[in-house]
Amino acid sequence: MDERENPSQGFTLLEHTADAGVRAWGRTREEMFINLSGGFYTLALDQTLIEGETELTYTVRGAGDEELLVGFIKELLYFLETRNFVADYLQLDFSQPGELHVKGIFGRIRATHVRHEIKSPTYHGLRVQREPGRWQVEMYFDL
Amino acid sequence: MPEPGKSWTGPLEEFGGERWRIPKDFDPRMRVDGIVYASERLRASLAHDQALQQVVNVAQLPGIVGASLAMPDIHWGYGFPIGGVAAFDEETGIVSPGGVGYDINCGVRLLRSNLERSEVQGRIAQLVPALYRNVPAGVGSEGKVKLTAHELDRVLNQGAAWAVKRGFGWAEDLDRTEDRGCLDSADAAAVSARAHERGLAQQGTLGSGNHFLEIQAVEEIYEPGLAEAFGLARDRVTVMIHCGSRGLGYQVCDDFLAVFRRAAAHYRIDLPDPQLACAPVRSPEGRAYLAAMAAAANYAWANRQVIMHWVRETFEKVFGASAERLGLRLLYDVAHNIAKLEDHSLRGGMRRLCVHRKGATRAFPAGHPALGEVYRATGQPVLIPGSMGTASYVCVGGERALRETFGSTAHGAGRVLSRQAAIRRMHGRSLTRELNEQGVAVQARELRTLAEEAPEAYKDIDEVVATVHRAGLSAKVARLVPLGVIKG
Repeated sequence: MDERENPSQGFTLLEHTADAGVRAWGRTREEMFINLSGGFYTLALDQTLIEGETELTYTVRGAGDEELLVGFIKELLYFLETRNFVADYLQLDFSQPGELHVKGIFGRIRATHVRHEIKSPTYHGLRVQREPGRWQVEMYFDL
Repeated sequence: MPEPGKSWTGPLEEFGGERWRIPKDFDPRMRVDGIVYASERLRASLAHDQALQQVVNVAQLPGIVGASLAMPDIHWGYGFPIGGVAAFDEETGIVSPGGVGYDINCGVRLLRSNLERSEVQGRIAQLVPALYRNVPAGVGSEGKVKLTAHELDRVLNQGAAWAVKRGFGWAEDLDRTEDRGCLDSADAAAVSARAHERGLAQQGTLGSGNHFLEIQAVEEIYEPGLAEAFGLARDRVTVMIHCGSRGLGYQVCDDFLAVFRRAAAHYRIDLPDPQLACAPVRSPEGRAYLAAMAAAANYAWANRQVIMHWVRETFEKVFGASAERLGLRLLYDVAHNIAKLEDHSLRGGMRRLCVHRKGATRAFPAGHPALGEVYRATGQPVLIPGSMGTASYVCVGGERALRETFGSTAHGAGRVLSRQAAIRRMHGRSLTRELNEQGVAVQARELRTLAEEAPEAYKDIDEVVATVHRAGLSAKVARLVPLGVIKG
């Protein structure tokens, strides 16, 4: 196991020949989404020492959880790449069908703390599984 | 859809000429066979992941012509396998961002020089850090080229020519770049605002991962006449640059995967894998993607042109002579993630096809009309880089490539190990020390991720190149070995 994995925080890293993946889980849908973001940041960053606080909100639209998950991570990737912003706190609202409203507190990270340039989250092998008391997703990222 | 972690258990019939066939009756949805180029030695690694399932999936797409092809550096990708080649009829076929990849026009260029290996080795301790300082590299690296939105549009529409006009390099560089470093079908307006935003600060940057700048020496010559025509001689120094379209290209791919997921449903195209989202070539969506993809390709060509200019400047400072005097002339620049409309001769005559090369290199033989005057007599130079610390090759396009693979050959070594497996393999070892002991100087922005690029993580480049040589897709001209590497 990669020493940066954190099963206690609800995710593990998945191996792939060319790229990398994350398996994330939670007791609720929201927890699964947030733990996936933890896995994403673990892949992307060496450290998460952040400075400052900026509140950002965004909305993702999608036909199902897969599209919402990909859209959710894409925005986090966009903020990371263009502003070196990392989410310190995320609040998710699924109340509108087909929409996810995200409110986050973001801090800035030093560019030298970024470990992998992630091109995009992908639909490759993307699967969301749901059973009583547990939501789980596997997502692969193009590195 | 291919499942991560599962191996291939389907058929793979020997087909002769370094080829293996997955017959189209393996899956009733396949419209053509799958054909994989591999030696007997490389065949063993084919089943380790689901890359062959991806060959089968591509064979199901509408309008596919010939076969769903894969080169010997094949490995698992998104949609198409890396090392995949497929051509689609312009009228009846599709175009797919998954057949190009996120890093549009990731490619390679090679500079030759008059410098001898011993001269450069004597100054490598100066040269490598100087190149590292002068060429922005690393994750999220920002370039020294400051673009306005308007200027970025010029980059997207003009490609490498924009860079030359701005003083980055020489006019003759364009004669030695695939498509002269510009696809005329580009339209900056087809590129989203977000892609523009990601591209503004990254022109003139190497990036990270398996992108690199490498100083090399010619170790072996296989075709003396061609080597001379290419300006290569034993023990002469070359410089290889490997990078692509950075965040702008990734965003273009992302934007159109979303568009094409909806378009595929609209055009009633059954997708065996969502990453194969596609639309008819002639549809509004297809045309828009090709225009945006071309713009991103142009961005990448401009990027490599700018970086090459800084490489020349660095050599000038270290060696105290002009780049012209040092003979730092561009040999060639190839794209290995791209889709192009090309005319190919098939049974029944010439047909216009949308050829997708994803981790594959164009390899046109001597006499091909698409080649400029410089290389029409010799055939197109083909550049195939190895993994860090291993050899790279200069080859030339072969006739059989035109007949069998729409003029395509391999692009590199292809991964066999995951990043985590590579790190485990390197546990207790220092890749930097091992490379230094081999006589290779290394400077990397991220030493911690260097282990992920360990040579063991990749296929044997000598075997990959030998395979395409024997297959007649591209013939070996020269073998290059590293002296110094700069990585992000």
